[in-house]
Amino acid sequence: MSRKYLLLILSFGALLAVPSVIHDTFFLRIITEAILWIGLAISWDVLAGYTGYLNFGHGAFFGIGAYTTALLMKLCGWSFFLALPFAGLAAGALAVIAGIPTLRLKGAYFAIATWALSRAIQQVALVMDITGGPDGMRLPTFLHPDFFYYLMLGVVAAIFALYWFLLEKAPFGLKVKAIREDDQSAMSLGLNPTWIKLQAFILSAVPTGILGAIYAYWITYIDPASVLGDLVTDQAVVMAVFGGLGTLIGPAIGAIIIYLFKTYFWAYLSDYQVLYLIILGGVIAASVVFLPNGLWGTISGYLQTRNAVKQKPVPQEKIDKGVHHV
Amino acid sequence: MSEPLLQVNAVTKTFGGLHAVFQVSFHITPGEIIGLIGPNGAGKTTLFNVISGFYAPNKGQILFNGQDISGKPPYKLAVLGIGRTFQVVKPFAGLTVLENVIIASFARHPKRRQAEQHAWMILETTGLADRANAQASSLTLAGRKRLEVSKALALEPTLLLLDEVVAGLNPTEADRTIELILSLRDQGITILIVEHIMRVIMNISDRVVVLNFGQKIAEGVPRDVAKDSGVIQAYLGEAPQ
Amino acid sequence: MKGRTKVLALLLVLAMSVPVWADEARDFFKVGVITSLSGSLATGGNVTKRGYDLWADAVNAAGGIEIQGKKYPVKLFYGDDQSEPAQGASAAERLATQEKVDFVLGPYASGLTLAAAPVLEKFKIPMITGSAESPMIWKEKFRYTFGTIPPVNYTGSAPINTIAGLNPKPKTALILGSNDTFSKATAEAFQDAAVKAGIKVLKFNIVPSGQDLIPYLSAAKAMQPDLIAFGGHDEELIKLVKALNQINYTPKALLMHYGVTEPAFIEALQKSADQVFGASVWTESIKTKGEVLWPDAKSYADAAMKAYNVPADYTQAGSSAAGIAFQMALIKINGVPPLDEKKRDELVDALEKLKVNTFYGEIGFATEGQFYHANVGLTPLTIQIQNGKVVVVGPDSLAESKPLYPMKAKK
Repeated sequence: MSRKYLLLILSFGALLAVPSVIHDTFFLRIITEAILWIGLAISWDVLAGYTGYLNFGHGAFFGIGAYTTALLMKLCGWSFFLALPFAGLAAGALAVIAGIPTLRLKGAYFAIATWALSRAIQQVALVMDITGGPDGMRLPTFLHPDFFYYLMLGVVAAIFALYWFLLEKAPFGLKVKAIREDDQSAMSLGLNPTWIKLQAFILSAVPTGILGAIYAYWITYIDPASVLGDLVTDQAVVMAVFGGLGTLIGPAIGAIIIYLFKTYFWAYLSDYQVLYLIILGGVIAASVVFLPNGLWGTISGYLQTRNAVKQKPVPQEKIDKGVHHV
Repeated sequence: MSEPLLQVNAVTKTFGGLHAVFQVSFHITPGEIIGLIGPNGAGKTTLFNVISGFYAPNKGQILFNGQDISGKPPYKLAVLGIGRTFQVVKPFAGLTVLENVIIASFARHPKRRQAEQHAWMILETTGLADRANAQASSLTLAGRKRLEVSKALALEPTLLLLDEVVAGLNPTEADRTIELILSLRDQGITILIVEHIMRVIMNISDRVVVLNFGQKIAEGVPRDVAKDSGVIQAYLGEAPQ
Repeated sequence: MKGRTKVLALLLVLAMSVPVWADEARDFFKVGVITSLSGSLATGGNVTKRGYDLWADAVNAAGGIEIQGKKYPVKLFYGDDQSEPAQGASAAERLATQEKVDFVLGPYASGLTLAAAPVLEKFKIPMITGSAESPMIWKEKFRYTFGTIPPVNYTGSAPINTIAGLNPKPKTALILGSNDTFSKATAEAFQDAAVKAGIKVLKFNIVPSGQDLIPYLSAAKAMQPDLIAFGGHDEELIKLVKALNQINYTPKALLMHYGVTEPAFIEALQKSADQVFGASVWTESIKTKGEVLWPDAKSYADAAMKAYNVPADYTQAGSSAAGIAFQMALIKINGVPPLDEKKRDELVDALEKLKVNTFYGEIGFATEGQFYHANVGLTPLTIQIQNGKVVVVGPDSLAESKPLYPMKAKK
């Protein structure tokens, strides 16, 4: 267990050091975006893998965060850091408003309802004058690669840590999984499924809104197509599923691999760009068939089995004392 | 006579015009084991679902410790002290046995550490401690039924509703389970148990309530109920148990 | 805090680091091309690619850009913006820092241009887009960004004015626009011009893209507008003409933009396409004189047809013209590759002062006001389909034929 922590902390340290070593702004941009996708993949997985609800309108949280930031900065003259928490709040509010009616739905119906809702939100942005309609909005230019790198890294690291604590350590994680596994049994044990699902929904939404805010300030231009379209949801889903649902490391790995793979092709093998799509499609299809638990799910499952075989049965004294670490 | 722990007052539950449970009344005093029997489709599980909050009664009320709990959701009743098992067992399949019981323990022990300790204790009581780290899905039916009981027990309930926890077990497993139920009563838990296996019900119940077509047709000590003509009639035409 | 594979990813990225070559002298120009080679805008992006490629091929066929007696070929480095602003910015960053391009030929769409411009502004690399023209771009006053196609609020008034000058003058108008950046701006430009020309706008509606127009048109039929003007794309234009036939209404004039000049429009509508007005800044037949590469519009159109077997439209032409603008400006400043920051700054000054006649028309970028760095040298054209052919009918100085008006009912 502590070996995992050590690796994570080392990785974080290494990432912190990157801008001091790599001054190439293009690579900084690549890594910044890779980190963004880690955040989007894990935030989608909170609801999908841990809670068992597939949100096909996840991008709406991202877009609402982006637009909230653009509106507050452009129309109210607020600074970015003042607008940032409101981006998260807006996404959280949407989660509450959307979650109360839709979280009662099951499986496919929830997926369809959330997808439809995100389409509707995109339409709202397309017709409102204040959001610029189809023209989109510009944000004040602030091009500092280091700033956005550290910001993205810090925010996603904080999101990861928050999720790690709430979903892997705190009781909340087990409660959420109980709802996922069998909500009737969970109810009979004192858990309120609607309330827990709503909390998970908010937990999935707020960080996504914040990531949308950072994206808007970083790219300086947003429009309904780019921040309220399908891309964010589609890519986050693919990355999380490929990496392994129900964990944090799975979607993170999925995000890194798919994003770097895609970017490498785009940057260095652009003549074979079509090939990238074919390969990616094939890999994902194959992974769904052969590795239903995703890449990390399969690897960690294998490691667990190997360790379990080595594990001795629990000694009686330990059981008597009621002391045991899982 | 002590105050009844549970009072079922003329409870009726209808589904689209069909009475699944019709004007059923009885009470349970603390420390009793009450058997609930009746032919298939008599309404036993529906009654369980009403008592445990999964259905609200259309008519009548349920009183628990004098408090009206009719229509209260299951998660509130769990906290009040009502635990139940499900006829078709509902383990949290993707989690370990221990995790299953930890989740149930959160009701009384909100912190992870204490919940875990409590869970270990429960697993020892129900004999699942050596399977603590196994996936719940890897248990045999007997194991899953015991897990089902463990989870309900972890709530530290005052009233325990057991739905067919013995059915499907071999004689050895069945005896172990009966021992467990009796020991739970000795610890002060009041039990309402549904079973098709007559010898189990008749041997351990203090009193028996008999349902047929949603209505109560008999109530009393096992010996008397067994002789009741209405009860015998209800079971004629039923395959012998 | 990421997984152990984050460390691996970091190593992968480091391994990918292309070694940074010193800025050695080279005898060719590195030209960045940022456009939509994939994604939802790929069709338009490929039009610009054809335009940029045609220019590069023509320049290289002549040996290169001739500066002080020596010829410097051009080499294109593509950055696919994938129709996403984030990738547009990334492409700009890559072309600036990895390839270290001398200048950039820009995206098909305005949104992508807006995302790439700040990055190029930071690295001081000039960009001319042969397609994007939204006023949103020029409003930002990016010093390093130019466009060869003027915004639609500059060109949209021309066809309205031409129509307003016809006899009997149209008194009323119904104006519709699809809810996308370009079409909406087009409809608004039509509306402004109509009001200024004294035409009463009975109804003005922006409709969601792809929506059925029959409800609007049926309501309009009752109002009997003399002029119906529509801002939309390809399919939508075709649908509108068919819808008008269906409700059996023929206005005195029907004006649509953008897509009337496309062969697909005439193919789909056959006789129904006749007498429809459109807008353009360039057609194959206009009488332009080019100082470099292609002497007139027709020779460009022929060269394009030969190379791609696809007729050239004004976006493709505008893209080739962007290359020509750079070419002429480089000659003026003796810009020998590689261009350092100072030279690129001079290039911008030269572009601002540039006045050149090309097969495309005159290129002259505005240096102030709402059309800052857009090409205001062109004369907006009114075109009309006559006997299945695209014909320039306005302004008078460039008209090839008289407009056919009022529109005859088709049956």
